Amino acid sequence: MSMLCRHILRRTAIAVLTVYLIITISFILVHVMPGDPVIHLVGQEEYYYLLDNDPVYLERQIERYGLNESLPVQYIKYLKSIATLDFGTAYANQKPVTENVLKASGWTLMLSVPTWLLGGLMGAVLGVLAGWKPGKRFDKIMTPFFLVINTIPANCLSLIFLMFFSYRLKLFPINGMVSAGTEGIGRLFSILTHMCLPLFILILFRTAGDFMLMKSAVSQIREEEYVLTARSKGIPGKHLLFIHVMKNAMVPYLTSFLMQMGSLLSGSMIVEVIFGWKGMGMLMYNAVQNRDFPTAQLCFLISAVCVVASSLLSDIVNAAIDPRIRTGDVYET
Amino acid sequence: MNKWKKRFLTAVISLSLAAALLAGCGQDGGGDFQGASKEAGETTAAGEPKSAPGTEKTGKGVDDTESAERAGGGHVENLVIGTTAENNVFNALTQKDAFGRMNYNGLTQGDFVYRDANQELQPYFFRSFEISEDGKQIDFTFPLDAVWHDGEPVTKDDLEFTFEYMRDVKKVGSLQNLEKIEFTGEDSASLIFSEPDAYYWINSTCNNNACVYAKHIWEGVEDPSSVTGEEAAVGCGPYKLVSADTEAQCSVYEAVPENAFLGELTVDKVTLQSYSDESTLMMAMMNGEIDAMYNYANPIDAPVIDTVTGNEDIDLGESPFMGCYQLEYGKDRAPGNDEAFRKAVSMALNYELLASTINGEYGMLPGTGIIPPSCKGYDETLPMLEYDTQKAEEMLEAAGYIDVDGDGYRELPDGSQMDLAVTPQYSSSMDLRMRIAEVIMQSLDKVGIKNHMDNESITNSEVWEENMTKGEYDLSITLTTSGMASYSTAFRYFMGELREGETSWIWGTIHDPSYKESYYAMTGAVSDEDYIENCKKLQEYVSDTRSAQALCWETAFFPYRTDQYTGWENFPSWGVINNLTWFNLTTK
Repeated sequence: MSMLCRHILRRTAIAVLTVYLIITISFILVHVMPGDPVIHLVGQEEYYYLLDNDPVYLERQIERYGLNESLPVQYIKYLKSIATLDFGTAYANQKPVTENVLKASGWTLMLSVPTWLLGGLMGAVLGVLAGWKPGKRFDKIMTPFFLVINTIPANCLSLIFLMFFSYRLKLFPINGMVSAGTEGIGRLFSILTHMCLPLFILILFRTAGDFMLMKSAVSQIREEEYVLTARSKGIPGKHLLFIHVMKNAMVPYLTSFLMQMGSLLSGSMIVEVIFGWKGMGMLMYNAVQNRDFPTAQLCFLISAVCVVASSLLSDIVNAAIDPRIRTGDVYET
Repeated sequence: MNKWKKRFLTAVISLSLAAALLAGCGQDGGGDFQGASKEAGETTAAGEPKSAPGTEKTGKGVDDTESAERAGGGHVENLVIGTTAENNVFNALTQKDAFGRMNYNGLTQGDFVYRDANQELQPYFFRSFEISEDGKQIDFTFPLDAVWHDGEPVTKDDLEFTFEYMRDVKKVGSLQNLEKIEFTGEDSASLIFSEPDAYYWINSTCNNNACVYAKHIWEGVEDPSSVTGEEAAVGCGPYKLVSADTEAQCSVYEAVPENAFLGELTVDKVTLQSYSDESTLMMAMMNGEIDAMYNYANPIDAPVIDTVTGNEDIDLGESPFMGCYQLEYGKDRAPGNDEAFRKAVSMALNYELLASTINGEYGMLPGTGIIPPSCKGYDETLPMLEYDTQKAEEMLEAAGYIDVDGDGYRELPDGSQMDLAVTPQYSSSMDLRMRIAEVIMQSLDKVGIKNHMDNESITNSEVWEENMTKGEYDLSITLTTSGMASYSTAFRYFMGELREGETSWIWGTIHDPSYKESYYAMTGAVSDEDYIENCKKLQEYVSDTRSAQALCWETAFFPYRTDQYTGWENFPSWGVINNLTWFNLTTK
């Protein structure tokens, strides 16, 4: 068996173990969260009203969702549900959890895929330009700008944009994903106008993060001795950048880029909540808020699997690109 | 990068964008409910309401002449209502989400009665009703031409089924003593109770959109929430659900003239649009996306309402709020069991700061009788609460609460240490309750009463509930919503024990039998006079003993636009979206 195969197998085994641990920890976390799920299931005031006026309904809900069973029994049922891909019914709308999650995933991907690709591309290109000639005008403008973007909380920037572009200038809808009563092209256009603002904010944040990473990698590598040697040999700047610098700078960037792929399905909770975008972030937020165990657990599971899978993928890709990784040399130096 | 690589990259990005977009283009979140209707809308508007002889309450019956005189405006084509509740569940019996909440206003369901702006019960589906003197019987009349939204007529069988379903399947507490429903005429019937529960039932039902259930839909259904098809939304109210788009978070309702219980429907279509929070809801209103808002018993917060103030097209929908935050003293242990101590603490609380914390500049100093003036039975003769730290300190000294060991904090009269736990009611959003607790803690500290936040209770509802039900607390901060305040009142919360056979919650520590007697005399009253008399007894009790107290009387805000429509009626604590909106609103 080759070194690469052995490396992949070892990493896969660790990934499977990690997913199992995450499943278990997320189950425990969800169940030790403070709050009686029945109260959240029906609403606090409703709960006390029902205690008075419809106690049978409450008992039925407790039985229906197995909330009266012990934690180990619930854990075994949970593992079984994962194995059979039957995640039960959501407390929120009595629909299958899988159906809710699939629907929310589609909406999340609509924001996250363009964010990942465009943000990644722009961050990389701008980062290379700034890092290759540090201290020049381009770097002097872009670095402080993206540094500021990186430090502003997402909710703050989202609200500012919402106030300015949607409320004041009325350029975009205030809330939601699509206007009611639209179909076909009209619906597509409506979705596009609704997604403009959240998408722009997400791309801005992603570009800022990737810009800083790429700039830092390129500016560090350009100072390496081998680059100096190549430059002294008279290798042209473009060739030097793309063949000698980029190849090495791509390793940390590609790792980060592939790791970001793991969060494609998790959504951006804050931006989704503010813009009323009913994606995975909002689904998870509501599930945790309302102690919707089945939904919260599936959301955690998907996030965990995606992150672990993307981490595994980046390990494999890095090993393929950099022979030092698969031979383990990189850890010894 | 050569041009082919560039083209390839561009193609990949474009395809990803297109695929992601197309995934959301199908209107699969939408549901068209129009097909559910077979006959609704085909017959003429409801006839004039009949009045049974000797009835106490008869339908408002806004007839054609009256409607013609009304403001001279035309029909509202599409009333757009914004809400922060979601548009996901459309089930007539679960009261969930925006749909369920809107049915508190008799939108799609035939609510039996509604509570008007003066807290008086008025007929809705019932054309009239009368409660017997002994409180054991309600005689009512009902319409003969009402239809279900799937086209079936509303029959006596539906009515009989409704009451039996509520009593036997839903186990509605106020109907546990219902013996039978007796039809006394073609359009009249009586509910006969073995105990004097008639007044209690009709008053408590009013806050929970009790309405007629369609026998052909709900018969044999043990768990109403399990019905998720279109039939779950069918009602016999003045509007039927015609479309629901869960992706757009919007649902649309059209008028059903046969079910115009209060006369001519002046709003032809209602659109219910959800927003993610109060801020976006208000932005939408200021931009003219919505005409009014409905959020059940949750008015717009004071800081948010300030952003709307000054807009000439928007009325703030200001009204006195019936609910309130209150403080209960744990009377099962010292020092809460000492009346003198309670009165001193009551004097030490900074009500101005509490008011601004709870309701901004709109909060008011509360009275000693707890319930605000907008509640039925409010006793205006009772004194208001006072804030005077010097007096509070004197009262504490006189009661024996002195700093013996010189650490700056007072000890109990027996010399032992005193450290009070302040316990805010557990909720999924604790922010405001925590701030209220901070103000109370600060006030107590100022008069030398050592205290701390009950951290265990604020992070775990089970711990909180256990402490509350066992009476193991010193100072408990709780909230009475306007729904609760409109009939059961805050006094329900303070009871140490309930009457035999009731399986409800109890958080209170008042064990005095006279209090319990007055409470049940109030909820079991057979008339308004009886209710008010007992309500005043309860106010007097808490005023005299200071067993519990209000922390602030609030002003509620339910803003609405005034540029297009007229005829809004702002119900205190509930706003302009109510049972009358569908019959009164006209264009300007």
